Amino acid sequence: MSLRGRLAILLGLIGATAVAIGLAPEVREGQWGAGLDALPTEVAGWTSTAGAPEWALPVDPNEKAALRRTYRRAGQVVWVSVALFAREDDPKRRGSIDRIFPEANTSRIDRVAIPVILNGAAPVRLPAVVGYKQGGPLAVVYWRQLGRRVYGGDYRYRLALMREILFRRQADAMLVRLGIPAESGGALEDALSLVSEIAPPLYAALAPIAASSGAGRGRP
Amino acid sequence: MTSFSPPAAVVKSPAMPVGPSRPWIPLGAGVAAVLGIYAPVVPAMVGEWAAFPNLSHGFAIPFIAAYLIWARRERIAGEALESSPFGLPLVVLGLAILALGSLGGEPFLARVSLPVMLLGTVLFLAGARVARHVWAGIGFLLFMIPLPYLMLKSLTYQFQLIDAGASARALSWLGVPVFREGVFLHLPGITLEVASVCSSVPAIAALTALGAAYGQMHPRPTWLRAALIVAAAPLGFASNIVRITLTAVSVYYFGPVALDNVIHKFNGTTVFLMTVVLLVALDAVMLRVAARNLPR
Repeated sequence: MSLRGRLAILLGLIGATAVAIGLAPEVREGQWGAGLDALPTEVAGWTSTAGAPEWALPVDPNEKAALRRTYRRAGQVVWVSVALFAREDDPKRRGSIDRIFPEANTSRIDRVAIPVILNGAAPVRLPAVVGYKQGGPLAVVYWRQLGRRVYGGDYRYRLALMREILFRRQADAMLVRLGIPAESGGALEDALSLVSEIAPPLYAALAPIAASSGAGRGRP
Repeated sequence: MTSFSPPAAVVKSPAMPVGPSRPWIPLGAGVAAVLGIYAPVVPAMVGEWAAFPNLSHGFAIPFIAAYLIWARRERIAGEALESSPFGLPLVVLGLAILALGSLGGEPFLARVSLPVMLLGTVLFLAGARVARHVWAGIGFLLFMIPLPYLMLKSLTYQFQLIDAGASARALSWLGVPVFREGVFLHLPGITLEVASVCSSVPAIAALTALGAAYGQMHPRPTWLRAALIVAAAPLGFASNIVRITLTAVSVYYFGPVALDNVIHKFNGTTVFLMTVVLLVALDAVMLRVAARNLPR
């Protein structure tokens, strides 16, 4: 094939790609039908008050909406933060991994995975970040939701988000975090065991809110 | 009877239908079209170079890459234009990655497809002989692309721990009493934190680019060039551990005022300069070894 022929093929391919990128529909911002206020103040015997300390669960300025509560039961404390992020296709609006757990004044950060059955089906491995501070260890367990689908791993979530953006042109997600100070439950293992108690009812309460965004339809 | 000899350029490139005086115009047009489709991808990347000091080497990379190609212009001009069977598949792959990254909200994918596209274009329009001279310059462009932050963050923390552990060991050898707790170094009367900004991980690309550029400065055996590229990042880590240790020793003897010194405040520049010195030393040693092993 002649050089001009090859150039024509190259220009054609580049032009077709430019058209495909240029004509792709805009990524939509989901309509969160149900507000975060729908989250019950009592969950499986845990009663809550408004607010959670920012030193334990940092605030991300990119949150579209967020709800923070302190759940207590018989001297045990679990801080809960539910944050909605819209248009995560835009790197400037994306939730930051620097603001999932507190890093300041933390001598060591360990990562473990906790298998939790959220919906009565197969267990999901949720990441738990344990930060060692002067006042004792603090565990932050988190998951992300695209609709009802739950993602524990950061890379799996990014892949799922990309799939959502490509095929549904939606990039709205929910970040759920549980902050558990080790002192409240005794040993760190005991504190982490609270996750399997409180996470499933929280997930069930959040399901209608997450589903209302229209993102990530399907099974968890 | 006299025989007719066609011009050398035509003999070299029988498939080239354009005039021999302008054989490079279609290739230039192809490269320009490639750069054109990447125009929306570049501004955000340049913004990151400007926003993060650890990425500021990105400004220099395109110029170094262009120089690496320009330095081989005579050899490139002497090659015949042909087509490689790998060209078109690479072009298609590059465009597919660009579309995936652009439409899927993953800027890293879109950016990393640029060198793929450029190499594919050269292979498709000019062939493997020309690509052999320009692949290093095109590949060098990879160093301007910021690593995905997710990967960078976990790597950074692991190396904070390694830096703190190695520095604590060095401090003990130097007779400085130290208790290490994760990324904290407890010295008598003061605690130092090996923070994420102290890590040399974000500078991996800059240090590796430095090794690659340094290796291209003078004629060297290929193995020596490869060794300089591979060694640059570990030498950078070693320089960083030396810097942290020196800072801690200064704090131990002179107090917190030592944290205001040049070595600590301009940590990126300090590590960069130390790495250059170590690279030059390594290069000198390896050149001597290479010269000794030459057949007499």
